[in-house]
Amino acid sequence: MLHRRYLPAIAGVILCLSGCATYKCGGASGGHCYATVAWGKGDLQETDFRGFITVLTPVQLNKGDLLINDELWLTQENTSVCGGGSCWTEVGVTSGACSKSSDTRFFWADNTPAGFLCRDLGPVQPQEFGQPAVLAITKIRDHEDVFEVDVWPCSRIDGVNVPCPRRPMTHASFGNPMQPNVATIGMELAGTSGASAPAATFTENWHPDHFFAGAWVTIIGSPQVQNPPVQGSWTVNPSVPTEGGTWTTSCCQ
Amino acid sequence: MIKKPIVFVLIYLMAGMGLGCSRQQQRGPEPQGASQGKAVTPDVSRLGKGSQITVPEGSAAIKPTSQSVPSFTADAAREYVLAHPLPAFAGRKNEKPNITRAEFMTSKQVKQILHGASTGFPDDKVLCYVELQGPFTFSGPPNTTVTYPRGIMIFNAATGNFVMSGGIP
Repeated sequence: MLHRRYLPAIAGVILCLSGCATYKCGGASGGHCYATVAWGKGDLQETDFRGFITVLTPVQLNKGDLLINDELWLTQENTSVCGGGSCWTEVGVTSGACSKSSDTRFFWADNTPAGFLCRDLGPVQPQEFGQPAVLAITKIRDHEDVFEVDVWPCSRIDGVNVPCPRRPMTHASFGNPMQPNVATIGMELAGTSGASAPAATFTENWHPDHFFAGAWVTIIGSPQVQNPPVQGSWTVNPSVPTEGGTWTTSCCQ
Repeated sequence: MIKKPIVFVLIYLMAGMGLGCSRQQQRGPEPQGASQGKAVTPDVSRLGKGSQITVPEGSAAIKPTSQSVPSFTADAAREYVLAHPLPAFAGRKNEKPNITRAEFMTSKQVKQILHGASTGFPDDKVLCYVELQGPFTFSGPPNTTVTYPRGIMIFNAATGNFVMSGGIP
């Protein structure tokens, strides 16, 4: 009889062991977990570091009790121009950021002298999951304080066709004096429980220069992975001749 | 007024990327396909071509109660914000942020409050601007947070969609 009383608790423990995700990834105010890889301006041998492009395959994100993102950041670290000592622009997919919804949505945000502003670009369409989406943040030539922010679902940058309709979305970050010195791709997780994300890939990692010439990333950069709960690794090493390697993230098993 | 910078952006995107088109392959490494005699090179010239500045779609938030614009009242916006506070609030535990401003204004007026930062909407688009007393803290890339004394939530006055949020000095 005794063991019957404890059956629900035992079942709960078994369920948790097999898939209930609890973690310590801070709250809204910081302490988040990351599965990222970053490159400094010097790493990429760019004298004129004007932007970064990656191709993400969006997956269904579940924010749990706070948020989870797969995204690209372009940052100027160690500057007094913007609040918090960094100027940055970010673009990607989220569950929980910039929106009260829990579905998976495109977003972009920037931290400039005007403050931190986040825009909800709407949900990822069903046919866009698992298909490549170009994410790009690039300085507009001859406009030192404007960055173009692109989200192009169902697109690649190598010209290979994608079997779903392209839906280009272009945005502009005005009043943004950032002089980027770091590019970062990967996953951000915040909260304590319930989040999940199947494997998403970041490919075609490319850094453009002033004339929009540029190069594939060929070095592994600086990975930062707080595993558990988030996972991140190079599943295709960028140092071999590929289109910028493949950085793969997931959460939270 | 907002059309000017947008036009500039589009012109520069198309001009800049068009110029870059002839040079874009100069440093691209040979990808795997090269071994089969067919090098795949990035086609970044496609970026910016045929695309327009896209307005933030936002997510359903305040239920419209009329066909006109604004389709809801400032009080309805206040109610929504109180019921769905910005998670970035970094005040004391059990403390809630105060709404210091909730009014309808044009995108141009919002842009002025934001010191030139774009809303993504045309200048004459009516938005609902809600400002809160903070502090509010936001996370960026690893090891990066920023705290601002005021928080903002912006809604599309026609649809009631929650389109933009953040913190300002």
